[in-house]
Order: sequence, then C-alpha cells, then structure tokens
Amino acid sequence: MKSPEIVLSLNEIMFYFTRAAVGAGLSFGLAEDFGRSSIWIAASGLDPARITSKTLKSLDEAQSSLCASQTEIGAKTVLTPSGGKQLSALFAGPSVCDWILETKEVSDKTQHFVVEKVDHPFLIAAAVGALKSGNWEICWQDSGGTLCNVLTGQNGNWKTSLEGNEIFQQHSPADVSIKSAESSLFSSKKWIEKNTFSEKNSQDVLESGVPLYESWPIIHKLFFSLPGCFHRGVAQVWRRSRFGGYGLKTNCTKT
Amino acid sequence: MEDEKSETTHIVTKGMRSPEKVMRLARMGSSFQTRLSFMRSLTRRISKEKWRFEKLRFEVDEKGYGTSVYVVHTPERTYSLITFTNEVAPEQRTDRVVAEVWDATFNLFDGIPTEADIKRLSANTPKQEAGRFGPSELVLARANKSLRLFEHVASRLSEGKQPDIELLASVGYLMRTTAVYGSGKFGCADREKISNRSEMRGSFQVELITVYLFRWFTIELVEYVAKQRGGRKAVSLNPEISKFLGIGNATGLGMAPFLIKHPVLIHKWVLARETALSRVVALESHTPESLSLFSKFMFQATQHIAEWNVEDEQQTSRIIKTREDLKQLSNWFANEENINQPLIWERILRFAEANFSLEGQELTVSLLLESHGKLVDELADDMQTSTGIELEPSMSLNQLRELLQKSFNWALEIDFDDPEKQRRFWYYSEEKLEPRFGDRYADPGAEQEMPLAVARDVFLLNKKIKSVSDDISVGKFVQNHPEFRNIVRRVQTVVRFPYAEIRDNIVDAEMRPIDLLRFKLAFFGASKFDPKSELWTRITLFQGAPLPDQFVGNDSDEWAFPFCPDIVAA
Repeated sequence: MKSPEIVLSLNEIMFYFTRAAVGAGLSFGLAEDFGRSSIWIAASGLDPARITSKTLKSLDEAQSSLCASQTEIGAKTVLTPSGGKQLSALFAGPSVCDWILETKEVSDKTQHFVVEKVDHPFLIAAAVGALKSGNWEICWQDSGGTLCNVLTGQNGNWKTSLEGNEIFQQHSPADVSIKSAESSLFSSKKWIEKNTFSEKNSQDVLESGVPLYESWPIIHKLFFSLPGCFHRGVAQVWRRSRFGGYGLKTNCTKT
Repeated sequence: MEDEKSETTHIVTKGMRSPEKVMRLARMGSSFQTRLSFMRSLTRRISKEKWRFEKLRFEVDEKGYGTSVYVVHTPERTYSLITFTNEVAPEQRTDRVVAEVWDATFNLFDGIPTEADIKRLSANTPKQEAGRFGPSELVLARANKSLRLFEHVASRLSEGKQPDIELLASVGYLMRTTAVYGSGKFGCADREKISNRSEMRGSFQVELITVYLFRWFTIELVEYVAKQRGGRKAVSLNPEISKFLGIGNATGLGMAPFLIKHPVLIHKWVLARETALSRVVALESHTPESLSLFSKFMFQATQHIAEWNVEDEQQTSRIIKTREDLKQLSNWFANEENINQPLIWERILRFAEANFSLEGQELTVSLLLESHGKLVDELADDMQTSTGIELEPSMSLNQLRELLQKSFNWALEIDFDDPEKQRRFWYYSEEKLEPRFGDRYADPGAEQEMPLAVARDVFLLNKKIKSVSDDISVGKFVQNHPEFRNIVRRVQTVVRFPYAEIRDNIVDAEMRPIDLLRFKLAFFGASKFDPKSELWTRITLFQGAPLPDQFVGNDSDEWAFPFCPDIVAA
C-alpha cells in the first residue's frame, strides 16, 4: 500500500478543512459545518481529502453555486439551485441538517427533503451523519442509473448500499432525497449485510491518526489561499488572495 | 459521561457575583489563582492517588546535553516525559515563536517509549512545529534556560554552596517554556483520545503534567551539571529551595483567541469559581480552624506579594495598591469585633468590594476559597465541557431578536459606527507567524481578520434582523444570510451559559490583550505575572508546589502564594 502524503489528527482535519472551505469561498459558519463533516468522514476511517477535494475545487472554480431557493410542497421540501448551476453540497448539507432539526419533533414521518442537482451527493450524507441526530436514509441515483443509499443510525454508525469506495467518489450532479428511517431498518434484512461503519473506526483513528493521500495538496492549496491562515509546520509560505474577512460581507442566496 | 442537557440548568443563583460584574476585561485582567486552578487540582490528584515518579533514562553529557525520560505512574496509566537538551548559540536564542532552536524540547508520551520511539522523536521533537508527531505523543513543548540563574545555581552547587536566595527569588525558575502544544497540534493525540481518562478530568491536565515533570527534570539537570563540575565537592539543592523553583513561561497573543473560541468552557471555569465563592460567603458561622487558615494564607499572600516585583509601571502601581489592600484586610481581620460576628466571610468580601482595587478584590476571593478546601474542591471536577456550539434552526427570528436584547444588551450598547470601537483586529501575521493584534486603520491585514469580534458581529446581526421580516425561522434566515450562521449559533448557545461571554469589546481601541492572558493563566494557577507589554507576559508555574518526593503529610496542597524560603546561602 502506498504511503500517505501526511497523517493528521482530527483537530488538524477541522482546522485545515474549515479554512480550506473558507478559501474556496464559503462563509465561516458553513465552513465549520464542512469541517465537522470532514471529521465524520475521517472518523469513519476514510480519506476526507480524497472525498471532498473535488467539491471544494468545484466551488473555488465557480462551477457550483451557493445560491438556492427552498419551497415546501405538502410533505416535501425542495432545495433548488439558482442560476442553472449545480448546487454545492457544502451549502446544501447544512440546509438539510437545519431541516432535520426543525422537523425532528414533527410526528409526520412522511416529511422528506429533496436537494436538486447536488454536485456531490455523498457529502449530504456526511453532513447528516455528522449531525448525529438519529436514523436517516439518504438516496440518489448515480449517472449510470444505480440507486445509492446511505443509512445513518445511532451512536455514529452508518451503512452504504454499495461496496467499495464507489459511493464516496460520485461527482455527477444528482437529486438527493432525505427521509426519516425507523431504527429497526438498520438491522433489517435489506441492510444487515451492507457496508457498515462504526464507532470502532473512530477509536482506531484516534490511535493512528488520519492518513491523507494524493488529494491532500488540493486542500493544502485552498488552505493557503485564505488570508490569515498560516500554520507553521506545513509550509513556510502564505499566499494572499481574494476573500476578505471571515464572511460577514457576503450574501448571495435567494429567499 | 456528563449529561449535556443538565448543563443548561446552570444559572447564576442568589449570592453569586453576576456575569456583568465578573466577565469584564478589567476584572478578568486582575485575576489570581485559586485552589480550583488547574495546577492545584493536579497536585491534589497526585497526592490523593499517590502517583509514582521514576527516572527511566538520563543520558546527558557533562554540560547537560542529551536525552532523558522521566516517567509518572498514575493508578491506571503511565506517561513519559522525553526531553532533548542541546547547546544553543547566543545569536539563535529567543523566546519568540519564530525561534528555531531551544535549550530543551520535549514530548509527553502516552506510555513508555521504545528505543524506536525515542529515535523517531529525536529527529522530530527538536524541530518543534517543523516536525511531525503521532497519537502516542500527547504534548509537544520547548523551553529556554534562564541563563543567569541556571549558571549561578550550577556554579554554587558545584562549589558546595546553596544559590543566592535573593537572585533565585528574583527569577523563580531555571527554565521557561515558550510553547506547550496539546490537543492534536502537529499530529499529536487529539484531546478526545484521553478525555475520558480519570487523571485527565478538568482542563489542561495533560499539558500541566508535562510542565510538572519538566520542572522536576530542570532541578535534576542543574544538580547533575553541578556534580559534573564540582565532583565530590558538589551538593544538591536544599529541598526548600527546590520547592521554590517553578517553571517560567512566556505567553503571548496565541493564547487569547482560545477564550473567545471556547465560550461554554469559560462559563464552566467561572461558574465553578463563583459557585465556590457563593458557598463560602453563605456560611453563617465560622470555626477556629477556618479563621486560622485564612490568617495563615493572608500572611503567605502578604509575603508573596511583597516579593512580586516587575518592571512594568502600570503593574507595579497595581501591586503597590494590592499590598495596601492586604494591609487593610489584615487590620480588619485583627479587629475582634469584626471576627466575632456571623457571616464573617461575606463581610470580608463586602469590605474588599467597598475598599479595594480590582486586584485586591480578586485576591480576597482567592483567599476566601483557599481557607475552605473541603467546601469547594469538588467543584474542580466540573471545569470541563463536551457541549458544542449548535444552531437551533426552529427558533423564530423574533425569539432570536429577543435573545439579543436580553443577553447581549452589553454588545448592542456599543456604537460600532464609531471607528474607535473597532480600531483593533485579530489576525495571523505573515511576518511574525503568530496571532497579532492590529490597528485596522494603520496596519495592513484587516481583510485577514479572525472571527473573534463577538460584540461587533452581534451588532451587525441585530442590524440585519431589523431589516428582514421576523416571522421566519432562524434556519431560513441563515440560509438566506449564511454569513451570520456563525454568530447566530453562538448567540443561541451562550445564552444558556451566563459566564460564557466576555462582556467587553475586544476590538476597541483601548482593549488590552494582557487582560485575557492573565485571566486564562490565573485559571491555570500561574503567579508572579510580569507583563512585558500589553501583548505578552512572563509568569511562573508550579512555584512552591511539592516535588515528586515531597508529597507527604496533609500540607501538600498548601502551596498557594509561595514566598522565598528563609535560608541563608552557605
């Protein structure tokens, strides 16, 4: 197996990934949510740089949008990107989490949320998983027509419907549906033999650190594109760039 | 694990000092250590659990350069201090964060290191931030000698003499740390790895275990160097002198942002102290024992403050006023009429509040707690938190507006349209490679501001809320205005924790960062604050604390307000 580019602690994952997201154009509050998603990915034993770098790059290169409108049609809430672009999962993930927290107490379990044209569907699941708010099923169809599911459970456990890394790497825009799931679903016949991630992964990561491979330089580059982010030990450079302050000057979403 | 919801029930009860009074920069910058300070709870735990200490390796040359491993065995685990000492050229010697070599570099290792671990660390630890570490390393740190005192002590001991006690008192340490990194920095173990361990209960325990072990190492090192020089003629330090030697520390702006970034934790620290104080002042009667203890600590504090001399003019005048305050307190206490009435502790506090400077008042608080260990010590176990800063999207914007009016009135009263009210800004300096405090209208870099200006952001949030319809949810509001997501969730969280927020404008033209540093360092248990500017200070850690072989009897916790031992150099 090839050697990692670097091994980081979870604290460093939060530090670098949050600031890389600000460097890519996110406000600090949304970037912190992205940092938490990255920790969730890392604590599951996965490489958060490999999984998130394309999404950050897509935002940095203005291929994805942070502008969307939200509508409610009966039990369905829909988040639609504005301006014809694909919607950044870094914006959509926190919106889904806010909806989950808002509807948590509602007894109507038919309520569901649909995010249209998300640039990286798995990052919606990562945002929901990092929220640690019970059982949720996140579904989308990949470009080949295969149905992809992620099921979050109690205590940070979660499952995917596909084997291997395929589900984490899908970067074709898709409509993602999020709905509440019964806790019994986690151990049901449909899910029992699926790819499972658990708290044990998290303990292992605390004992060994988070290895990051070939995508780390992209995070690293975005981190250093943020003014004010200098961290000794990574590089003795500091690049100035185009984003000012920490986000209080930006506003692009639609009501 | 602590039930996070239960934390929401904490409120400021009758008899406690209010957040409006306590969480002001001027008072925070007058803080003193108390028996709830983290160093004090650590030494109590060492004593109670009878931790064992062991020197596993000491491979240094006659000048004291080499590798050593000092170990502490707690009831359940073992931790090792691995130290590398080397020669530093005079032109390379600096305490600043830009330094690249230090007299000593060290790690706290989780367990006992193998030869391979030591070899790996020998290639990384001396490089500090430029090295890489792993989860087996809990702390990374470095220190420089007080050249003057180290050389003096080594020289005198080598001649069979004890050091000059006045010189020793004027410095207070053989080495001073210039950085102590924990919590996952540079690849070290995350706090989460150790947070459930009983010996890590409380704040900054792993960092302070490291400093405590290092203090022991510095004393053994100077004795070793003396022995190499003097041979059979050399003597060891008198144990009372050893005990009086602490570890110095130079602390700059790097520490200040922590207080803003961890509001719930700060609430827990202050809540513990204020709860302790309210318990003491609520005591209607007093015992001869508590009177005697108060008197004893008042004497120790008087001696301690008499020996506290600094170059900074402002701090010097504050120390002089504190000495006068202590004299007044002593006179009050000597009056039998005052002592023979009920509620003596409350009356002492009221007397201090009516007559003393802020430093005098906070010193009085420390003294009141010091004489009531059995009543307050258990509060130290709750000076930590697992509560994060969370958004409540279902809250209506109108409710959020009410929260701002109710709990952030202090911030809304500041006129941020006045340029002086946001003259300063916090940023990372490219040139100095450390957090800096800039002048927005004179220095470059304001666009690099760190998100720490809570009062200003609350002001802007309130202004924005006024401009939109308030019949929407907070979730909808932050979706439309993601730039406020950060400050909204902070507001929603900290309203449940009254001591969480510093109730001052930390970007005001008149703001003194040194106040933040002193507040935090006092909670660590630091003493002898020696401000070198408004931006950094020197302090002493563990001065007066028992060394590993001095935890005997019941007085091992009575090391507050250390003063110079009455020993004449032989």
